[in-house]
Amino acid sequence: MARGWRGILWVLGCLAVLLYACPVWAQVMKVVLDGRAVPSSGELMLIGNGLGMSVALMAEELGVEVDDSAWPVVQFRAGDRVARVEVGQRTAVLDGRTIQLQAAPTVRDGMLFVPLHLVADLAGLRVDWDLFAGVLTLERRSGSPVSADGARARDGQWVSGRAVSAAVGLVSRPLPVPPVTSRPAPAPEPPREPSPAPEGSAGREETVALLDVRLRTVEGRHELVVLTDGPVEPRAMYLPDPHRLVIDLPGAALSTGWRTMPVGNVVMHQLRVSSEEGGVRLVADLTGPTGYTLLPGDGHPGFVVRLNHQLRSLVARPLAGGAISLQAEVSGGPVAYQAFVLREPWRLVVDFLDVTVPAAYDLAVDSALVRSGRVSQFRQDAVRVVLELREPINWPQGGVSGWAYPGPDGRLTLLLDTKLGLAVVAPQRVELSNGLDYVAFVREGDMELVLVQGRRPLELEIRRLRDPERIVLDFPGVLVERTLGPLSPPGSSVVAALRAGQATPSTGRVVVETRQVAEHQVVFSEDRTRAVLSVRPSQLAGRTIVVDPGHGGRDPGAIGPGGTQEKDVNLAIALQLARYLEQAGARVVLTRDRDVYVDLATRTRLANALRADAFISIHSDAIGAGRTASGTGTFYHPAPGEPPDRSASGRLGEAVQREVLAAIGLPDRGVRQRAFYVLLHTEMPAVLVEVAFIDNPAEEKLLRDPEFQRRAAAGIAQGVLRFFADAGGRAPRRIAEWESELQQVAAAFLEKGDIPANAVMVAPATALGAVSEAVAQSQEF
Amino acid sequence: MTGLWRRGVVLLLLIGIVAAAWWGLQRQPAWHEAFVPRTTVKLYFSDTDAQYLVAEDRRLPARDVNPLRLLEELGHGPAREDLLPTIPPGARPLGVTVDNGIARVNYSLELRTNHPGGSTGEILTVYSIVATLTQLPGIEAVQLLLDGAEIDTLVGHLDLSRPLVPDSRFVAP
Repeated sequence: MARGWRGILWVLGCLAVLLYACPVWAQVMKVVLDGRAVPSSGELMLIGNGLGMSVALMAEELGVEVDDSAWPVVQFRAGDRVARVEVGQRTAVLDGRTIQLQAAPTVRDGMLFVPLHLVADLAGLRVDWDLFAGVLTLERRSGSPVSADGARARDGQWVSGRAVSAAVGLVSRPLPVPPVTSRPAPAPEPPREPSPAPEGSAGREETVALLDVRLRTVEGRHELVVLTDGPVEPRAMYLPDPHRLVIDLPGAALSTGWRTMPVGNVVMHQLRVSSEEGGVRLVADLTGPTGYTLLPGDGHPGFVVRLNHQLRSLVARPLAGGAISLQAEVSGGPVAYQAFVLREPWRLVVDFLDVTVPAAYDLAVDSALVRSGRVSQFRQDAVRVVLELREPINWPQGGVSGWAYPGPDGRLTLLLDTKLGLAVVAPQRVELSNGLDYVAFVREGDMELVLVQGRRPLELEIRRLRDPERIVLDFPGVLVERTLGPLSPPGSSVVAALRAGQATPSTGRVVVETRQVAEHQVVFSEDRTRAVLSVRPSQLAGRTIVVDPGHGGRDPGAIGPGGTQEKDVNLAIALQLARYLEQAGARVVLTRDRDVYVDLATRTRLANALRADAFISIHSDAIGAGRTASGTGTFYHPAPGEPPDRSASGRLGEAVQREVLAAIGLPDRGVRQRAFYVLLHTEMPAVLVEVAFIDNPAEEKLLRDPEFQRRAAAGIAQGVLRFFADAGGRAPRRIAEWESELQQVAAAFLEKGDIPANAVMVAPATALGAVSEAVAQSQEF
Repeated sequence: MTGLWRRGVVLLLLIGIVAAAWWGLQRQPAWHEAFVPRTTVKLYFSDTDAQYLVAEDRRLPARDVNPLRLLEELGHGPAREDLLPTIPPGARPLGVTVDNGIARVNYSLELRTNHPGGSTGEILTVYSIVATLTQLPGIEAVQLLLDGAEIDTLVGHLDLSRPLVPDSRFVAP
C-alpha cells in the first residue's frame, strides 16, 4: 500500500514540477491600471531579475513624456518629476538624485524597457504584482502628478517625442490593439505626425522642391544643372575665404537624398545643400574665385549655373614686328575672345568671356608699341585686358573675335598682329600620342556620314548638346593641330556645320551641328583608328524620356546570392538605356545618375515637372525565402479614366516587353498591371521593367555582365522607339540593323580607309582635290 | 498510531500536490485552449513559384481571432511544406487599429530591413497581410505602417501611401 502511495506521489510530484517549470510567471497576463485593464501585449518583460515596462506603455497609458533626442540617454517627465536613464546603465538620475536601478534599461526588438520600480517612482504608482494570477495592478496614488485626464492631454507632447523616435528608429510605439468585434466606439484617430518618415509625405505640394543637382561640362565650362519641380527665383552670391558660391532658393524645400556631393574638378571641391529657414541653400565650394551665370533650365523648371573659367595667370609679351603675344593659363577651354581698339588714348582691348580673374593687376609690359597693360574683371562674365598704346595701330573697325583653344599644356596663346590687324590663336605645340589625320563628310542615301581618321586607335565619348542642336565627339588623348571650321557641307539635309579643335589640353573635339534633332550611330574599324558617325532625322525628336534606375544609396534593393546589389545593376542598365535613347534623339533625364538615395516621390515629381513623354523604371526582381524564379516582366498601371486594356502605359509595356525579350531571351513573365508607386504617381505613359531575377544565381551572373546589360538596354530602347513609332503610325527603326547597315555603307572606308569620291574634307581645311592628292602621295594609303 | 500518522502526512502531501497541480493547470494557457471553442481562419502564404498566394487553414481559439493574432500566426509561416513564408524573419506586428473599415497595421522595421527585396517579393509580403486581414468582418482595406510611421513604399515598388484593398489576381484561383 505504502509502495503504491509513493508511486502516485512521485508521479504527481513530477507533474507539479513540470507545470511550474513552464515560464508562466515571466509573462504578465494582464495589466490593470486604476481598475481598468489596459492592452499590454509585449509591453512588459523581465529585464535583469525585475520587471521592465516599455516606453510605449509609459507614454501611452501613464502620460509620461519621453525625450530620446540625446539617445542613448533618455529623459522622462511625469508632472514635475524628471528621470534620466541611459541604455545599459544601472544608475539613473531621478529629480537630480542619482539612484541605483534593479536592472539596466534595455532595448529589445526596437523598444526600450525601463525597470518598473523607476516608473512607479516617477509616475507615483502603487504597484501590485500578483505573481500567481499574472496580474500587474497599477494604481495612481492620490495627489499623483499625472492624473488620468492628464495622461490623455499629454498625447500631443508624445507625438513630438514619437517623431523623434521615428527618426532615431529605436523607440517605437505600438498602436493600441482593440479587439475588432467588441469595440464600443471608434478609437480616437492617432494624431498624424508631420512627416517623420524619410519618404516624406503630403503637405509639401505647395512648395517647390529641389530634386537634385547634376554636374556637366559644356564646351569646357562647368555647369550645375539644378533640377526643381517648379519655377524658383534663385539668389546667388560669391563669397571669398574660403571661395564659395552660395545660391539660395527662397521658399523651396529639400528633396535630395544627399547633403554633400564630392566633385573635385578644376573649379569645384564639393557641393552642399541644406534646409534653411525660408528655403534651401546650395553651396559650391570653389577652388578659387569663380564667376558664374544663372541660365534658365533647358526644358526643365529649374535653372543652370554656368561657372566661369578661372584665369590663373596672364602675361603680355611684345614680339618683333609689332605683334603682341598674350599667354594665359585658364582652368579650361576653349575661351571666347573679342579684341578691339579704343581711341584717344589708343588702347587695344581684349575681352576673354566667361572667365574670372581673382584680382585686377598691372601687366609688366613696356615696349616701343605698348606703354602699359592691366588685367581686370570687366563684367561678371568677362576679363578685360587693356594695353595702353604709344601710337595708333591698324585694327579692323568691328574688332576681331573668335575662340582660343588651350594648348595641350593648358595655356592659350593669342597673337595680336598690330600691323595686319589680325588675332591668331597659336597654342603651344606639345605632342600627344594620337592625332586626327582628317575629318570628312559624305552623304550616302538618307545617311549623312562623318568620317574620322586617327593616327592611332581612337577612344570616343559622344554627347548631345542643344541650342544649336549638336553632337559632340570628344577624343581623349588626341591632338587636333589646327582649329578648323565651322564648315557647312554642301548637299546635306541634316548636318548644318562641322568644326574641329582642341577641347581640353588632352582632348580633341569634332562638333557636328544638325539642322534638326538627329539620331546618331558610330561604328569603328577593326583597329579603331577609323570612326564613322552617321546622322539622320530622329524618330524621338522633341520627346523627353525619364529613365529611373531603381533603388540607390542606402537602399541597395534586392541582393543576389553572389552579393550583387540591385541598385548597381539597375544603374548600369539605365545608363546604357539613356545612352541609346539620347542617341536616338530623345532628351533623356535620369532620376539618379549615380549611387544616391532618391525617394519615390522625388522620382515621380521630377518626371511630372519635366512633362516627360515616357517614364521607364529599371529594376531586378527577387522573391526571397530561399527559392527563386526566372524571367523578365514589365508592369504598368492605366491612368485614371483610361480603359485598363487599352491604356498608353499598357501599349508602352507591350512594346518594351516584346523587344526586351527579343534582345535577351529570358522567360516571359508577361505584361501585368501593378499598383507600383512610380506607375501610379507619374502623369505620362510609365512602365517598370524587372529585367531578371537577381536572386537566381544564373540570372545574377547575367545581370552583372556588361554585354547583357547593353543588350537589355538596347531592347528596352527599341521598345520605346516602337511605342513612339506606333503612336506616329510609322515603322520603327531597328537600332541593331542601323549599326550593320552603317558597317556596310562605310565598309570601304572602315576596311581600307578609302574616301568616297564625293566626300568633303573638313580637316585639314582644304579642298577635297588637294587632300585627295595628299592622301594619294601618303605612304599609308 | 505511527501508521495513522504516516498516512495522514501522505494524504496531506497528496492533497497539497493535487491542489498545486490544479493551480499549475489553471496557469497554463495551452491547457485552457484545449477546451475553448475554436474557429478556422485562412492565412495566406506564397506558393513555391512565387506566382500566387495560397490560403492555409488554421484553427484558432475563437476569442483569439483578432487582427494582431492573425498577423502573429502569419509571421510564424506555413505548416504546409508546399508553401513558403511571406513575412521576413524578425518582423513583428506591433499593433492594429481599425477605423471605418481600414486597418492601420503597424509593423516593426524588420519588415523592411530583413526583406529580400524585389517587386514580386514585396507583393507577396504586402498582399499576404492584406488578404489575411480582410477576411475579418469590418476590415476592407489595409494601410501599412512601419514603426508607427506612414510609408510611401515597403521596399521601393508598391504604393503604400494609401490603404490597399485585397486583389484577387494575387490569390491562387
